[in-house]
Amino acid sequence: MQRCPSCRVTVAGHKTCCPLCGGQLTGTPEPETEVFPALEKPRFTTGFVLRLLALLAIAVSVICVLVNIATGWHVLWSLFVVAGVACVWVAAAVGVAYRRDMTQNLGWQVVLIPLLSILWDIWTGWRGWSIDFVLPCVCIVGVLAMLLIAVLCRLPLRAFAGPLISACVLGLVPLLLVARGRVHILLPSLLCAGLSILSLAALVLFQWQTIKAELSRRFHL
Amino acid sequence: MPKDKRSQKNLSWSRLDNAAKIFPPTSHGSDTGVFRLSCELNEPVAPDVLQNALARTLERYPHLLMVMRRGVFWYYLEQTRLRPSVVPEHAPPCAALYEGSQSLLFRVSYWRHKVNLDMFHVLADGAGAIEFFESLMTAYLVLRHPEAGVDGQPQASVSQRWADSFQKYYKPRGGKTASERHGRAYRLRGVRRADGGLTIIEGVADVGQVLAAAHRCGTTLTVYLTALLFAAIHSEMYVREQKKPVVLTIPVDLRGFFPSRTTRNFFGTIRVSYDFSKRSGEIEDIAACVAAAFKEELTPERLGARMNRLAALEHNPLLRPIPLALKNPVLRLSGVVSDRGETAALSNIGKFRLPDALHPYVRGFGVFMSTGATQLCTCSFGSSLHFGFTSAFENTEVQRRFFELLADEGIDIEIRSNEYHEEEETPCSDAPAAE
Repeated sequence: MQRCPSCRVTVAGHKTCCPLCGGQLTGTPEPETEVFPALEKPRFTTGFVLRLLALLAIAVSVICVLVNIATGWHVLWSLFVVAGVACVWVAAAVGVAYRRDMTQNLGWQVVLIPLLSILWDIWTGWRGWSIDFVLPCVCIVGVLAMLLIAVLCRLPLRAFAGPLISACVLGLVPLLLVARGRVHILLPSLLCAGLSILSLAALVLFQWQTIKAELSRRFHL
Repeated sequence: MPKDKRSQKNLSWSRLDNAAKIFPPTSHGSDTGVFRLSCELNEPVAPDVLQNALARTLERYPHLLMVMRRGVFWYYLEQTRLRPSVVPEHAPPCAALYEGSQSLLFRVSYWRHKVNLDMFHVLADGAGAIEFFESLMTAYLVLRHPEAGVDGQPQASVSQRWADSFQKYYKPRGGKTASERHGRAYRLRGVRRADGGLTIIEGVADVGQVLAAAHRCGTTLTVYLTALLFAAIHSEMYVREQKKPVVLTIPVDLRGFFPSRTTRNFFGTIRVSYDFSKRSGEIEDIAACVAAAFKEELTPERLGARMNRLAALEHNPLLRPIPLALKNPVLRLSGVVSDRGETAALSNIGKFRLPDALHPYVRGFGVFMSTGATQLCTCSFGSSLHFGFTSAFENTEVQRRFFELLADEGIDIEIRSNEYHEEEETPCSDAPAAE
């Protein structure tokens, strides 16, 4: 056993310094009495990946802003780049945060992407493309992708019921917008609404017990 | 593989109990809300036997096979078909366990002679986890050493173990006592570890020697150790900081006051403070002060009132319908505010018990709790008393001083640590300078 003369304690394992005072130890080390393994540090952590992406985003933004200034102020195109890069980073961050659960990941992207698009649409002078195309198309792709993943990974319904139901409910929003006369190009919105209604009907008719249980869990107060 | 389609469809679920609700939003950095129980054996661990023992033990604790999921208003626990495997120790003690809805909330690992159980506090509290860990170690040793001639003992029913005792003993108007106001407590200083982990210092002493020292001081073991921790923290304080009181948070197992066999959370906390600017700071005086505080706080009335006050928050009709995404920052903030009122935490887990015939195979048990500051967990098994210091700081002043106070009483202490200096080139602090 090793011993620290200043702390007057014995020290297990093989240490170079006293864990308490940092002083020198006397006696012979006994590595076999070590209680904690020496652990390797993980190479990548979630935080590191996100910081790396953030640095990349900032680099792209800075370069564009500097080039924009160097080539004249007439058109502030670099602002679009900065905002676009920020949006991509947010979407990527959500993707990284929910990387372990793909259907949940899709569920959040279905909310996030239309939301960011609507903000862009408003900012660039409302032309309506975000609700004409992006919202219905993202909902359609989201619902279909969830079903595809569920079939491929053989997920039980309860594992993705939450994101699926919320994507379907969001898919009804284009129908409301059509009814209010806000949509100019009807086809994507109608397709999206049709798919959502069909999916919800199928869920309610064939999986009511699962849906009910899922809703009572998710919404318990 | 799924045999029974119906049972697969309708998985049981449960709410988080009152104490568990605070852990998911406040877990961050080194304060992961995970605690570790470890058991040191006299021989290397056999992983396949341990796996077997784990599977057998879980048959009696099916409610531990849960994952945590996000609801709209609260997190909840949902039964899962995931089964744990025993793994070689590859993560630091009390490392985070919750990684989304696909992760079990406990982990059993082994290294050389030692078995660890890391448990997320959402699932069980110390007493609950101890019951499970004792069952696991008994099952393991019975399988490993059939010659010891021990049978598994009958225990509480599964429904008793999964009861939410906070709900059971909640009285809506029970908490009408004056609410206590804590000012700011003295906060330990130090450099936080670069890796965001915990500095672990484990001390092992003979329970008889420490008990004798406590009796010389004219007090009980728990009070004595609490007083020593106060004194150890005092030695690190600047004089100008002494106007702030030192406040220790001490978890109390409520099963001792309200009958319950649950393995879920059923604990409360009390706070004991000592003002070094107003009192002498002698060990005897601190011990008297601590003993008086224990006597006052550790009554069913006081603990029940406290419990009801906390539960009232959960039952608050205004707070409940706030979406989880907004509730989390609020709860996190309340955690930060509550942390300001405490200096460190001390948790006396009590005794580990195994059938007598199995004692020769076991060297001792240990307990560690994740923390954002410094925490001491003590427990005993047979004649060995275990001190598990966890700290978010790199410096070990409080720990050094604590063990120095014990050494002053002539107590032999063995120190273990998760620190490795081999690769570092810096010499020890008192090493002679290189030429």
